[in-house]
Amino acid sequence: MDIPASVAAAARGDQAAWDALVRQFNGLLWSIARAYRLGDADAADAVQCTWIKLVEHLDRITEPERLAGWLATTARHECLQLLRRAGRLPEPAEEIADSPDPAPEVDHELLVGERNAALWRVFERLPDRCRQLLRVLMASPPPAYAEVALALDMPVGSIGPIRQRCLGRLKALVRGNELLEGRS
Amino acid sequence: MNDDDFLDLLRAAADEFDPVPAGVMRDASAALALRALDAELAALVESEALVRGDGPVTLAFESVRVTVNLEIDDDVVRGLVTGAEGEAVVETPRSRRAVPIADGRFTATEIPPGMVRIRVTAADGTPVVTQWAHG
Repeated sequence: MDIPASVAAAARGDQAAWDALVRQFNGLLWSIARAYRLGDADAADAVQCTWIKLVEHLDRITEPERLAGWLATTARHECLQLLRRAGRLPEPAEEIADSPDPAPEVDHELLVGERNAALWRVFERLPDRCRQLLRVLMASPPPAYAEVALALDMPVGSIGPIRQRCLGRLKALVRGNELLEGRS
Repeated sequence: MNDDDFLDLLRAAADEFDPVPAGVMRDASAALALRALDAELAALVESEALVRGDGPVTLAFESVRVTVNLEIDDDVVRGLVTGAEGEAVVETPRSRRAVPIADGRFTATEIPPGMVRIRVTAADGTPVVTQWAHG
């Protein structure tokens, strides 16, 4: 996708070009809002505010190739503002240990149902910081590390190692789960 | 299974259990129509919100011709305007409400939560719109 061309066309009022940008980045913005644990209404609000701010800036975007980073940063600000207004600022990030927690006992509930449902439930049990990073990385289409770094205010170089540790933790939670075990 | 493949599985789970809602896609698409090409922009120059709770938010906007001071308290928007007269239009992404400006002041009630901006007409006839701000 030629993002600078789409931005230029959208700035001229081309709805199709704008919709292409929305399709490309709305998944990332929604994932960022969910990574900050916003509920349905607040997440929708944060995403809409981000797009409205882009509309306001369309004529003044000097580096359209950095649009994804701009959107990620703006979405983070919107999420933090909503959390601040609601009086629930995010907790300070906990350290992410290298050694995973011991695998939990087999959860029989997980033995039924679809693999994705089981995986989703296991994912929701991750510690906050891991859940937050992975939720952004799970956006469709997959975001670049640079955008993930801006969305979560993390150094870009830390994302690869933390991703590895968090996926390791998740794999440990999956271990012993019959439904998922065959695939890991 | 390597990490990339595992993350792809997770992405499939997220697509199924926490997809972008259709309404969020529609709102994002509709945002382009909110451009105010015809109007002079009054930029946000000051914003003050209580750190916690539901207290009022105060905002100040300035353009070349107009200043707008807003106090947003729940669903009530009160404004103090200089350089414009007639009516003020309180806009949200989904609604518009026109209220008269009297002695430089206006009040609009039952404004839906979320983003708002104000449209006024400067004394020389130039349309002016404030930046969007969070109520």
